[in-house]
Amino acid sequence: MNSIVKYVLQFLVLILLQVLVVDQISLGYVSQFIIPSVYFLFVLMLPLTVSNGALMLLAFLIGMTVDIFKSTPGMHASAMVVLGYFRPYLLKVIEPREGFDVLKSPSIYSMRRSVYLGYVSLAAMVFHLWYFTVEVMRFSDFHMILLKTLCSSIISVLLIILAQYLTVKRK
Amino acid sequence: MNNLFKFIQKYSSFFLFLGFQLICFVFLFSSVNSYHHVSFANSSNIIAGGIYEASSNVSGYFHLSSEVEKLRIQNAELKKKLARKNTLTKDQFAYHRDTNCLQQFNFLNAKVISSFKNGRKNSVTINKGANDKVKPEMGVIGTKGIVGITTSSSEYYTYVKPIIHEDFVLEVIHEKSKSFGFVKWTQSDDWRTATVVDIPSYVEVSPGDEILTRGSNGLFPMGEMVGYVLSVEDIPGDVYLKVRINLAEDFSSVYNVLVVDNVLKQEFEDLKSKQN
Repeated sequence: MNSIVKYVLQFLVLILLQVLVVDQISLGYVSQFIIPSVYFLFVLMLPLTVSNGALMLLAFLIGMTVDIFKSTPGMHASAMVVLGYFRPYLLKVIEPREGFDVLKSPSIYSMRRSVYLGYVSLAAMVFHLWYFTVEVMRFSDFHMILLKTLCSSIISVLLIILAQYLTVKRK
Repeated sequence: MNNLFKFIQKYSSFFLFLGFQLICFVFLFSSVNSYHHVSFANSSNIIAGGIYEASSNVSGYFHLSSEVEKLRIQNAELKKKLARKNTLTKDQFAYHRDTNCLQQFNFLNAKVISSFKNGRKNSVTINKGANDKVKPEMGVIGTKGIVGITTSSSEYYTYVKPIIHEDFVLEVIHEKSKSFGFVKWTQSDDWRTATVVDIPSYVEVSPGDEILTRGSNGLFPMGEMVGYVLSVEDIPGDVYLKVRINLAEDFSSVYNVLVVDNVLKQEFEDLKSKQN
């Protein structure tokens, strides 16, 4: 399949998955701490060869699209741009000694499982930390921000790993 | 100058990052009525509205029975009110001319096609818009209690700022004592609760008391249900109570709503602007 068509499809599917499925999950009392996001997987899945500028632009676009659906202007976009900016650094942190295969895009099959888990977890922490900080906009509730970040990140990572096993084709 | 260009080139991705963040923060910090916010809401209505409506057309069937039950309860309440009214007019034996009465509030039936309850800036979208004469600044009432106030509408969809939004403020009264305060959604509230402030501390408020709308800004009729008192906190040294209330409307299953159109709102606003 043409890779551009593939990424456009991924973009659309992840947004619909986010707003129509993941956002409808209701867990009663704990749902104020657990607000999972899976759509940032789009930025994590982009090829390793993509430039920083394109990465941030695509991150901004998908964030803004989710903002449009959730009517929270700028909030998701801001968190996504942060994630896009930090992605190269995250990859540097978790890079194994032999390096990555630059021709493959990051997925659970192209990396070692533990490396991929670290990659997604770090990304989820960065994304949620920024998102909840922007949302609350005050540091007096910092313990609340950390709690939300931790709970939401754990559930998001679980959902993302699950989604990877369901969708990405084994090669 | 050359050094400056080199500097910018070296940190180009960081400057790009700052640029994108600036755009985000313009949206984030623009007030609800600003140009950015309104144009965002309009485009959002067009794109997201259709998809949410399609999804709600399917998911609507799943909670049909519970919705019917809620509407039945609401019907019974209305019938009770109507019955009381009939006996009253018969008691008076007065000549009743129709032109003496003006129906001040019109209600428009709408459905919630999307709602969010877990963030700090939550929203509700309903499937009626400017085509049905829904305008910004109208009250929205659910089957159990009030939902919120409309903020912007496109042709077929309207955004509602629910009680569970951190900018929401509405004047309410404590039913037993008739003393009034403001309902707000504070940091310590989740989607089931809200806080009423500005009720003086000498007023006796006990858990279970009803909190109703005051109808002071013309958005809601007087006496619409807002919630029930959950706990009362008397802060030492403060002349006001902090009253925690349970919201009457269940934001996890809000579906059928009524939009309130106040016929006399313009007149009321004119009067208010003359005062100032």
